[in-house]
Amino acid sequence: MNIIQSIKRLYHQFASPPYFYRISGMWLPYIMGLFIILFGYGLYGGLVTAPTDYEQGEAYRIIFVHVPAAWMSLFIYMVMAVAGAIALIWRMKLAEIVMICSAPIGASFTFLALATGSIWGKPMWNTWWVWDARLTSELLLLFLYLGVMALYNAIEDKRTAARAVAILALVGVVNIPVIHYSVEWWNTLHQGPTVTKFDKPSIHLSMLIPLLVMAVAFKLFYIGNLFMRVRAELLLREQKSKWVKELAEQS
Amino acid sequence: MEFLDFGKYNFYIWASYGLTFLVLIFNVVLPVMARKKQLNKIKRQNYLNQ
Repeated sequence: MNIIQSIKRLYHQFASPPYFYRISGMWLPYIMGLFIILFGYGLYGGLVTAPTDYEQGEAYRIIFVHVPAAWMSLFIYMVMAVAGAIALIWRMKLAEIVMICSAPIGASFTFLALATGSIWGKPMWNTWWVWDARLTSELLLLFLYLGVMALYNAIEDKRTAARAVAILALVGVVNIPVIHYSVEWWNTLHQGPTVTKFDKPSIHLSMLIPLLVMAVAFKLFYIGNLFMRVRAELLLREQKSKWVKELAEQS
Repeated sequence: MEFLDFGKYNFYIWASYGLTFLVLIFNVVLPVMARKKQLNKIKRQNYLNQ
């Protein structure tokens, strides 16, 4: 009973804009600091210490940005959809803002996954692009993100806009398993999963560690960047409230 | 093997990592500018309403 009460209290605290603004501001330097350390380590591990691949030579080093970016493109979509569900069910304002602020970050990582994949495809497959299942479903994900952003901007009243966007985001979830299993369901040019088969991962530890460090770094970047965007959006949405007016005076 | 020289794949690798840097920096700069702009706007409104 006590646990439920403290969860409830925490929920209400975090749902309060001035509280979230203050707490996220306190955490931001630590999150971004840790991101810079891990990103630096990931770069060093990926570009310097990881050995040359026996099949792909040096070209495989694109994996250290490509795969974490692709993972983030799926992860952020799921966060966006869950925030959308919370926004629809409980009308929580902060969930609406988390949802809408996630979209441009998710679109960025999706773009990055597509672009680095394309750059990787040129020397390996001798083409920038093929319409295979993995690439096409990932491109659809980019359009879903852009659709979310466009729909939100098209509707004047932001609370109505958030509800419409939440429904679009939830419908789009159907694309997530399609992207994930596309390399197994269809015969694609894109290679199968190398990391997620834990029984026998087909990647050496000296390559796996920088890859996982980079993945954690990207996740931290998302959290930090989400905080930054939510803070900016809160100032916009709450500009008439007393706490924002006082905050502006102190800045 | 020279340090950070990837032979015939130099272009592809540096293009990928360069793009990554650009995307990350862009994502940080946008909300920083938006927040500053909004704070200044509210400050101005506060001043006008006094």
